[in-house]
Amino acid sequence: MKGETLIRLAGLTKVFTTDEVETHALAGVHLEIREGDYIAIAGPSGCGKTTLLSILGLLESPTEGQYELRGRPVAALGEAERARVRNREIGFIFQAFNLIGDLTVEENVDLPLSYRGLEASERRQRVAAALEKVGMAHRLRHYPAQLSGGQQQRVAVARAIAGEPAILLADEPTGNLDSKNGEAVMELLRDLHRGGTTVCMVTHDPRYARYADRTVHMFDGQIVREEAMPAGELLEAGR
Amino acid sequence: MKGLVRDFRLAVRRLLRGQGFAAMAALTLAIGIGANATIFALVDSTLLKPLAFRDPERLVALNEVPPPREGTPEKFRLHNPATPANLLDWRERSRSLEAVAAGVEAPFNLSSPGEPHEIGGALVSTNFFSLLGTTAALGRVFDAAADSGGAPLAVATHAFWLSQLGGDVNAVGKSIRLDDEPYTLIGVLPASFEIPGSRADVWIPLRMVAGNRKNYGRYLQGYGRLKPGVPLATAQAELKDIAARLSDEFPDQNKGWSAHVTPLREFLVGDVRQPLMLLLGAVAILLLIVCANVANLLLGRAAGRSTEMAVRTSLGASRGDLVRQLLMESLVLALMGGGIGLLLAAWATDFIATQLGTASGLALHGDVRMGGAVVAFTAAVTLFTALLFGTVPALATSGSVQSSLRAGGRGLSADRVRGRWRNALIVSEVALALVLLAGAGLLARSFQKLLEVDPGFDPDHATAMRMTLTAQRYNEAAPIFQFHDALFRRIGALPGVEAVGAINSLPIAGPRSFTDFYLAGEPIPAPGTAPAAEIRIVSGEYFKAMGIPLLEGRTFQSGDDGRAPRRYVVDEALVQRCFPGRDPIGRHIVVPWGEDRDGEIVGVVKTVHHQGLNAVAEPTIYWASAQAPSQRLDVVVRSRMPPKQLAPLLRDQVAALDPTQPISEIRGLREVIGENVARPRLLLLLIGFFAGTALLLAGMGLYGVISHAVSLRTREIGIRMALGATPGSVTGLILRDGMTLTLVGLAAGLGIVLVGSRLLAGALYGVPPRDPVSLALSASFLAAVALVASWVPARRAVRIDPMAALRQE
Repeated sequence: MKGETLIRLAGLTKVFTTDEVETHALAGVHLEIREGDYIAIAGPSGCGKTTLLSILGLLESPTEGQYELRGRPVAALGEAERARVRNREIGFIFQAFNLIGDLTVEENVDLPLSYRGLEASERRQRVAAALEKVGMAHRLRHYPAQLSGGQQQRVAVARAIAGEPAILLADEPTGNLDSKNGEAVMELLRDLHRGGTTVCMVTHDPRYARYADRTVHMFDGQIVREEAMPAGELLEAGR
Repeated sequence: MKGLVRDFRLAVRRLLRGQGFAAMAALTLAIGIGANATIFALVDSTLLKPLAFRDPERLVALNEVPPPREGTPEKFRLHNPATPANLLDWRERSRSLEAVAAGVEAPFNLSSPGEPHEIGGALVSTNFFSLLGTTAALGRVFDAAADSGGAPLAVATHAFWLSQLGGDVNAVGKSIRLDDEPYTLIGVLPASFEIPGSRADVWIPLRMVAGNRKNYGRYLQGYGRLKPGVPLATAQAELKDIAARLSDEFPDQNKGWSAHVTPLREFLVGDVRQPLMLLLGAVAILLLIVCANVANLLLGRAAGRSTEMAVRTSLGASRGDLVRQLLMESLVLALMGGGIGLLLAAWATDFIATQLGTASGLALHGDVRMGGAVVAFTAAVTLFTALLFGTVPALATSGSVQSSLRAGGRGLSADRVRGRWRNALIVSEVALALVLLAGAGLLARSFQKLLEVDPGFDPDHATAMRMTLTAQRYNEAAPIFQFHDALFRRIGALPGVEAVGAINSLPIAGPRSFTDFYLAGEPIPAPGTAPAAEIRIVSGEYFKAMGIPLLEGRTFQSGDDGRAPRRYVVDEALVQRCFPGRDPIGRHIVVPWGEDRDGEIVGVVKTVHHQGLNAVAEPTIYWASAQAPSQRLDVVVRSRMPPKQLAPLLRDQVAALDPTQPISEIRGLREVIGENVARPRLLLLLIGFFAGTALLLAGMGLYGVISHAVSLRTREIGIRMALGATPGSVTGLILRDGMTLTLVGLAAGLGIVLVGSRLLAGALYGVPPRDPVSLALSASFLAAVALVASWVPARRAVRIDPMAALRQE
């Protein structure tokens, strides 16, 4: 339901301990993401952006604090249930694309669907639709190594949306692309958002942060500022 | 199920893309799985395959047990043959045995059909085949009437029927000539009929006369069939009880003797159980090393796959999904290894069966081939192997994935976890390799000791041949003596022949022949307490031909014939036991053979190991053939001519003397000794091969681990070198890692060896199972290989360019 709270974080902390050294990656993060939001997380290197995204994607657990997804605390979820939630509710897009080199484009996009146990015919339809949406349907049988960086990221986006997740988590999705391909991927994300997809993107590039309708700025593991994008800038970015 | 098929397809594709890795891993697995399949094929055909008889679990071997005697191995005691009279009494009195049969193997001279030659044969009681539950494939087997007089009857094996009778379906009823006597062939046994270890091709009835106690020589092997539901222990207790009563009733023959019941399979193949179990243990250890090696390869590869695992996780794969995918890849690898291993095993078993066969000393029986059981075993081993080597990498690779997702993230904690696993695996490899190496080292030392044993004769430049004079023509002393005499003269005249003589049972190769004896003029020992000695009948210049030194007195002369008083030559062992510190020449001993039992000792010769190099040399009494004619003779010729060149000349001489007289087993005495040590040699070769493979794998594994560690530490090494570390200190740093793992592995392996080495005790000769020399040499050798395996990556570390390393992320 558009506008309803999808994710609520309260007092989230994350401490990494290695060789008796404690690193406070997150230090009391409060954040709310509503359905249909397009939120950008910005900040300098090491401020905790990626850690926050990992916790949002259930790949990490917070040291302290509350994380509710659709009103349900996720802390109590077991490993299998977390995997199920990741598979159905969350779509990941990575800076390094992270396509699996031994799988074809089709198989890469099919991967999250295969973990869901859907029928092969339905999976095929969904894979085709996702690839159609990102303009990569003609590269079905190709391997990632046969694609350009921009094409690989498009396939990665198709893989993220094939399962129709509640939220797309994008970690510096343009970081490994040139500006032209970077713009193309941002356009793609914007189109998806316009179609109703909730997007949460980590970026340190202000140009791309403008695509979001809300930007949170992080520093030393805390959200230090939050700003909504003026409607005019939104239009400008969307041009 | 569909998921599994998809995982399987992906696993195949992935392995095909990484051909070098897949080939390396599959070949390594093939060695481990193939070795296990090969040894299991031997175990299956020898120890597991049921004997091809009716209800074989109810069949038992029946033996007499002599009073305990110093130096007599337990196996010989429990497997001593029985007298005909006692076997008949057992049959009469036993309530737990459904039937009792008897048999003895003896060679026959087959003179028709075909050229005269010696074949294996056996005399068996007429109920022998019915006891086994065997019927003839053609004709019939013996019945109760078979030994009732009339024309002599014979039953042939399927192999004899094919080779000698051309597979003639009308062969039944035809005559064959055995030992110059016509026998009517009444039946041909089925092809499946096989008694492990038996050489008999033709079977004839054995006449057993109840109540005849005059013949109390123990030469018959007893066979029994337990009544349904009767446990072995009951029969054993009953037979012991019967033997005790017979001991009281007939003390002259039976005092101190007991009885033993052994499951027939155990009796026939029991002595190969230990070597086969040792080999099975060795290949199991090899398989563990192989698994550790492949697991290490997979862990080394895992670093490159952590991102993939993380991506899969982020897409919703549970840890179970990841483990399943990784295990499927392991399974595909194992299937490849298993397939190649099965091919290797098929070749190896064929080689062992055709090339080694009985020469291996393993007394293999039946067809050693890749039957259904071997394939099923290999499949099970393959699955087990996949789990064994796949689980650790799967768990290590599927855990702790998050850091790999970050661009440039190296997953250091995962590297550390994998590193610990790799270290643990390499320690296990070294420990297990030491176990195999120590085993091989102990066997090598044992074999060396065995070869150092002085057999008591000079095996070089001596050739032996065997013949059994046909009872029909050589039934008295005169013709036997004349044959010996004429033969020795003819052979002695051959160029280069230094001496020729004969014995009725060649040392090491021939059958055992024991007798009680006592010293003349001293009180007759109570029954069952008399000393015992090997007894051998010799003729010609036997001692000279064998190279057995005369120590005192003389050997036999032409006057030591049937008209002269009995004379004996004894050996040093007998003198030490019976005449310590006294001169034995001229003394008399009593050997209870025949009527005139008292004989004078005329000479003392060096002690000979009649029962093999690893057996205690028993006291021996030699008796002149002219006084005790023997139809069986092993002729020994001392000549510088090699046995192969001498053989046709010997055949010619025998043929010139008696064209119908077959001879067999012409070979050098060196070869006889070689056959005696064939089993320990084969055991040494096989375990040595497995140990060598283990050493290679452990070395490769260590090299892989240290190389990987060096690659992970490239930046650290660059920093150290930039700060002034010398090449020597860098080399030392890397070597220390490798040698620390090695030393931990050696310590663990030593612990296993010290605890488990007693299992090897039965296969060792003259070496304690914890022999410090063998253990030290094995550990040193392994440490040297480990040093080389660590040295190579250490040298590479020294060549790291500090600037390039420092620029590295």
